[in-house]
Amino acid sequence: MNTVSMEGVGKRYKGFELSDVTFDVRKGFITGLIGPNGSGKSTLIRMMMQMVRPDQGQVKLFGQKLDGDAARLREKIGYVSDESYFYEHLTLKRMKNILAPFYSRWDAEVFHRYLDRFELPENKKVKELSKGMKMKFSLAVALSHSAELLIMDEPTAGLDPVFRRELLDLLAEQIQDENRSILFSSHITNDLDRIADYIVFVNKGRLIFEETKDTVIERHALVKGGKELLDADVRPLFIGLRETDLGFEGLMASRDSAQHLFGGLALIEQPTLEEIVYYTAKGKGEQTYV
Amino acid sequence: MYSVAQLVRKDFILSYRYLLILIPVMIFMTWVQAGSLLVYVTLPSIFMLIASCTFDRQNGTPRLTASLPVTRAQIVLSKYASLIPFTLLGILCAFVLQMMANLIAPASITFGRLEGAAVIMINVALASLYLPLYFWLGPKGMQIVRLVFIMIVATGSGAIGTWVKESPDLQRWTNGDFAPDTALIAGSAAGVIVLLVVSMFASFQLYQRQEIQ
Repeated sequence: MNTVSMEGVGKRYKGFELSDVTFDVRKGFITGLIGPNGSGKSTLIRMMMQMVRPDQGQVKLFGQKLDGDAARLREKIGYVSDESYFYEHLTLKRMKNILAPFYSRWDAEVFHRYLDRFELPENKKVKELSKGMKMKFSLAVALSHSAELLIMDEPTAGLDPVFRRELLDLLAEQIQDENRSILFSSHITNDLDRIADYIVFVNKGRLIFEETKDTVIERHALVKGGKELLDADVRPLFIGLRETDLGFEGLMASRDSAQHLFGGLALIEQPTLEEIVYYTAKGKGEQTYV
Repeated sequence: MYSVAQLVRKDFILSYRYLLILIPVMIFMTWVQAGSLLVYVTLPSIFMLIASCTFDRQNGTPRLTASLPVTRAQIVLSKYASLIPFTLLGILCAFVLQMMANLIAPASITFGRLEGAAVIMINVALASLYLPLYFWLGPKGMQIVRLVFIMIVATGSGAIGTWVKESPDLQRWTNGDFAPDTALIAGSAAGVIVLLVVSMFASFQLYQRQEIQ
């Protein structure tokens, strides 16, 4: 069973449209939701949390269609937002006292274990914490009520590399429990390179692909060669293309096609997730002169 | 109901310290005005209601309540229900101040039953006007509404209190010296109840449609 199913969801805002997005978050896996800023990642996450309602399509959580107010299902979700959403003037202890009674499976021992692990002083006010510490507190809360689904909206944005690595290790630890699923949105593709099992890529409000991370990387090809290899027939075959005075570098959706067209003539490499995102978002528009 | 009670508890934790700021004001008002229930009850309870609403709108905090396992109807209901402990706290403040004032100058402050009923109705009416606006307007609009409400409550409660204290007829009426006009009381109570029901319905409809960004 999929923990989350987004089925043809769409949402229209002034100047932005999320259109016909379908993907799943599979039980027991980490799904990375990637895309440039403003691509619709947060809107999709807010749909799962029922903060935003889709204009079309449907969202299913734990196999249940989100009709009406599915408050009960949120007990099974640990939500971590890109920005701190706690009351700044309260201490962590007060904040915990507010939150804990809402969750029937709140485990005070687990919560204190995370506070110790993250070195969070209970008597400090939220406003006195750094961004990293606020994120750690958010994580401690999300992990203390036996959530079956962790939804994390850009949790690593603005964090230092040490804590980013710690966070990724922690998530890898969490997913050892096969009943737990994680949806991790980020525009920092390196993070997802490390831990994601599945990648959902959205760009300009549209789903570009939803595949296992390994398939995505193995399927695409990064081609580097001289400009003489580019002509009107070849150019449309690239997802994204970057041309310089010296040559070109472009992303193709199929490694086999790349081999067939450029084998022996150009350098064909396995792209990183970052290169896939970059070229897909950029397209084959402009030329860069160096 | 358990979730509503927890949301009310949250609002109380968020805003109780505002009462500490108001205590010196109330003591001063006791001294200059020889006590008015409006000042003691309405001022702290409406201020605490406004404070708890404000904290729920700061930065990303709307996401906090929206991410909890509570329905939007429960969130709306809790805002109205939080008026109960806030008003009770105001009444407690009034009795403590009355006791203290009467220790210094015996019988200097007395509260009539009608005055009490009128103050509770005023509280409900104010909250019924404030909360739909809170669920409707964005942060900028609410900033203006909040300011207007604080001014109305702060200056209005003092002014009405003084007016009541300076009018012998009103004094006798609030003390229950006149035979109560049952029709007037029942009509006022019914009016406030209708206002409350309409307000709750409007708040629910508005918040149900609202998107949390």
